[in-house]
Amino acid sequence: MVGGTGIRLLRTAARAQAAGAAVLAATGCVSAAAQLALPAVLGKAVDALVGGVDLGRWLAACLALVVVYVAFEVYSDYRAGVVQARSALFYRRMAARRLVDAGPRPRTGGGPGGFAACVLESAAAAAMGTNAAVWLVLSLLPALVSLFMLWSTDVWIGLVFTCGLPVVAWCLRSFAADSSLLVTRYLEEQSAVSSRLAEALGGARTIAASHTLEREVARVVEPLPRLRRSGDALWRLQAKVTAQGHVLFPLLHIVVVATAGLELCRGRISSGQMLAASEYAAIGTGLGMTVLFVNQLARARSGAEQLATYAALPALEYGEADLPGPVTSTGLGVELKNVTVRRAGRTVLSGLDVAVPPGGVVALVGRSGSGKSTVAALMGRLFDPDGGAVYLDGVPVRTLSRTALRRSVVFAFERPELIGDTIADTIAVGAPKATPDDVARAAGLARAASFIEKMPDGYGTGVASVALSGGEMQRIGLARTFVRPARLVLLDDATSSLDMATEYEIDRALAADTSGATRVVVAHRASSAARADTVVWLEAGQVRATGTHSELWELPGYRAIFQERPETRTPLDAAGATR
Amino acid sequence: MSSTGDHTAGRYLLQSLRGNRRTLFRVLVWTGVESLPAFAAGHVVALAIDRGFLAGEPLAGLGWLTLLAVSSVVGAFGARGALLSTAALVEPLRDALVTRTVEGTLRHALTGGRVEQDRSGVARLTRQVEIVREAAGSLVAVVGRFAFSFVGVCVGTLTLEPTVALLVFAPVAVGVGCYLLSLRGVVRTQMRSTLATESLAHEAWQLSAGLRDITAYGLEERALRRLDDVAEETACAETVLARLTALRTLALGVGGWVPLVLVLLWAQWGAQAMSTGTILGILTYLAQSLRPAVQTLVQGVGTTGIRLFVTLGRLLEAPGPRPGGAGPAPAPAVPASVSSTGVGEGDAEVEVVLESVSFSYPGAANDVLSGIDLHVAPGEHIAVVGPSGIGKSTLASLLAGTYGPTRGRVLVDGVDLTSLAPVQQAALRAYLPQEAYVFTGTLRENLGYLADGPADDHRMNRAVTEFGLTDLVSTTDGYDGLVDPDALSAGQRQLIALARAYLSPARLIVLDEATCHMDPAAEARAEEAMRERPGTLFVIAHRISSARAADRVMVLDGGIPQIGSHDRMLAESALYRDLVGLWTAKVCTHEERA
Repeated sequence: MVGGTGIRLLRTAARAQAAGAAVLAATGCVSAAAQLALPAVLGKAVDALVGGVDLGRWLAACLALVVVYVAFEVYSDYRAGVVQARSALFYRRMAARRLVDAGPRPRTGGGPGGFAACVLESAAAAAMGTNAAVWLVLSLLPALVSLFMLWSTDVWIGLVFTCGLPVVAWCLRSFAADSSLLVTRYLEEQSAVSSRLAEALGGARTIAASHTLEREVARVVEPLPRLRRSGDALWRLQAKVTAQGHVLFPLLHIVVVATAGLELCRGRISSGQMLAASEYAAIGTGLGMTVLFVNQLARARSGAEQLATYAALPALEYGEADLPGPVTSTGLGVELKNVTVRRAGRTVLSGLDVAVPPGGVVALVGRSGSGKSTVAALMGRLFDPDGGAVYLDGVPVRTLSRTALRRSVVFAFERPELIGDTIADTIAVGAPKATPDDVARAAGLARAASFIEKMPDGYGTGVASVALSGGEMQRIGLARTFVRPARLVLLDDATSSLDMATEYEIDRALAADTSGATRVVVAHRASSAARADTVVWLEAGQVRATGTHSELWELPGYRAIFQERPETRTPLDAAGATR
Repeated sequence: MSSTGDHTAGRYLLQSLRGNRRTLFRVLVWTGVESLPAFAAGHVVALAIDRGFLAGEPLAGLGWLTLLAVSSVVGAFGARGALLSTAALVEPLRDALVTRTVEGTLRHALTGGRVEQDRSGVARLTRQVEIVREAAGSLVAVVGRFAFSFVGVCVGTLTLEPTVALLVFAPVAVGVGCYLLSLRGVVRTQMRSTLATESLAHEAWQLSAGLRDITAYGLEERALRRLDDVAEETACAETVLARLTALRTLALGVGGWVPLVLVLLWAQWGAQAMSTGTILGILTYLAQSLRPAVQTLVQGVGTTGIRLFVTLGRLLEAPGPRPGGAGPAPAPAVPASVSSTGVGEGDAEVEVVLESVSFSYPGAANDVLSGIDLHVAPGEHIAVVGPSGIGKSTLASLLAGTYGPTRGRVLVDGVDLTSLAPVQQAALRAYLPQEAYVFTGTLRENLGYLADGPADDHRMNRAVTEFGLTDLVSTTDGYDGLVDPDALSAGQRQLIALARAYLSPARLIVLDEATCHMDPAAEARAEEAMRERPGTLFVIAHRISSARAADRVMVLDGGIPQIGSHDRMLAESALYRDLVGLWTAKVCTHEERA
């Protein structure tokens, strides 16, 4: 089934490159024909030479064939490169487009590393598909034609070659089986080194302070002697196979030449034909190339199968509708009706109903895994529920246009991904019209200004060049939220890495700044819940109770939620705590 | 960039080859043996035809061909020997490169550089080393084989028919020469392609990792455009490479096929009559020795050789210092031996004095810490509290020697910390960051990491009991069982790191939220054990309970830090009251449950 989609994808790409592939096939055919005609013509030329006849005609043919062969070979090499580059571009664009269109709906497997590997390596492998298919067919041509030519030159020569080739192939067959075990062992030793290095990198600060660099280097490279042993074994195997090849192929060739020589001696073939036979035998052993292209095609197919998992992602489609009412300053009412979400066979939300009045502040509270973040994500349509519907001011979110939705709703996350090159870009990412002053004001509100100003280039500092702690990331993420006005603000645990004093200040700034907007807060701390107008208490994908914090505090089950997580901070701060 | 990259790569390769002259010589000898059939082929065919098959003596012809078969077998031995001696040349190169890369990457990380910590990034490094190993091997083999085969063919044609030799030699020289001249461009393009591929991987990673935020902020088109730009740049570079590959094929055509035409022309109009055997012999040289040799050279140099130089160049320049990044602590200006007198030996505890210490990151406008004064008595226990991002961890880094103060001094027993050699500093104190470092190794190795010598079981037993690690010891089957860091919780890893510091001879212990992943009970127990251990203790507090148990509390609020006992700080510092108030509010809810 999956294999089918891989093949289908390869076909789609081939169709997109149909013109290039056709040119490739045509030029390939011409050069193969020239290559195959050459030994025969060369033989005639030699016969003419030996016979003392004028060989001008044959010589001219020879020259023409060489020119055609080289020219077409050159052009088809170039064409193949272009087809491959364009196919890779096609796959890369396709995968990126499908991934982005599908949105962040959580799915299994891969992750960013998987996607990067897919875009890089699977796309490159799949891009070989079109060329490999063309070449596979073309590689059969010279092999078969030269076999035919050998037989038609002389039956004995044909017979010797036809019998000898399988023997050679049989002798060389064992390499793949023997080597795969050795390669596996070699790779294991190699990954032992890299995982030790990864470990040591994680402990860089401990190592620096304990001054144990030398010891650590020695520890990381400790598997090298074993790696060397596996490597040597691989070399020995390779040497054996190379030596066999160096004996067997020349021997086959010598036997063919010897047979031709005997036939020459008996006067059954000419010396030119003997030369041609020798050349055809050389071309005929090129049948080995076919195996190479079969392998390439197999790799292309598995690359395409990797890509197919992205190609199959359903898109998150937007409608045309706009939201009624003014663009800013008033809050949106949010309603979730009978919403069900399933993930990997587990029901996350089942038949949930939640209504948030316009302009209200609502806290979503519950144990981890109760579906709080999922509810927040649905309210801003990061993905669609499996059942039920979400309404913003009475309009189904599925019908809203992308602009209408994203202009009105803004998110802040526990672990924001910072998109943009500099800190200023990152903050202004959702508000292209923001001035540097707007950015600085937003950073100030998010309590991020002080550490940003301490960075080497302030707001112009490259995001990739500094190690940010989890708390710093969260504050930049909040600044990104503050910088643009919105009617619905969704805060998904967006202050979890901050100390409580800072969190409180930000909360007050938020209340003052986004007045009028509806706010939904995923809260882990009692103080956040206490500051909300209404608390929605979720449990096992359903609403357990709704009310004010003080009302709900009477319930022991509600209090237990906050006591469960005393003060454990997420390990986020570990990343860049030195700053 | 490319030129410096492949210059260093070239120098590095030459150096490592020079260090291995004997092996290189062996490679050359074996390659010479390997090329024996290339030299023999034409001669033998000429003799077999002229003196055998066409002379009506088929047995003589077969005899000559048998000689060729024997030379093939000898050549095969040569090929085997050449490969094995190449291995002996290349394997040490791989080992040296791995060691160099590991050391470079680690050193870079240690001095505050950003490194790709995920395993795929590290795996990329090893993959690059692997490319270098394979390519270096085949490059040596290819160049050697071409040289010997070419010489073999030249000598062969010269002895067979001297007038023809030039016709063979000249086109090959022209073809190969033109190609070698174009190599500069190939290297540049390959470099461009490698860089484009790297940024493509980076952008793809970012796209996938940022998917939720891209959707949430409606940035789909913008994000796709970014990826598209680098994907197109990659395709462009690949197309240019394809053009250069075509050039390679042309060089191959000129070098491999033009001699054929020239020889035929010469045979017809130039030379005195050649024997049939001679003609076939020369053509055999062209088809079976020259063409394969040119092909391996052009393809070998064109693909593996370029890959070798580009990859090796990248590898050698990879973990360099990053411009604008936080630099390492300044190297000690004073020779280590001079200052070794200062720090009182023998005492289990040290006095720590901060003299108006300021710190800013290199190039940053503002100070993270400014004018900090602090006097810590020997054996005292200080806790530091303050809001996120106020510089608590920076303070700990100054004591840990990760950074040196921009102004002011850190004195340990009256000796400036920066004047001590790193190894002396390390012996003096133990620093524990949030992320506890536990490595794959025995529990004994992990616990004894900071100890003077091998720690005895008795002391280790004590540490294990103090920190509640007994369960862990039983799961690893004693101290000599293997620890798998991935199988431990973050809290367990922190416990191991604490026990390690406990067992060390350090006289100053700096804990930078080193207990943040532990539950409150375990934390209290661990801190209690640390306090009972002789030594000065400096704790960046994660919970208010840590501060309450300290001798004195230092409150950082961005201004002049306030220091005093818990009670005094409660009375004097509004921020401290605030922090304690907020923290105790939660402690109360705990007690309510109880």
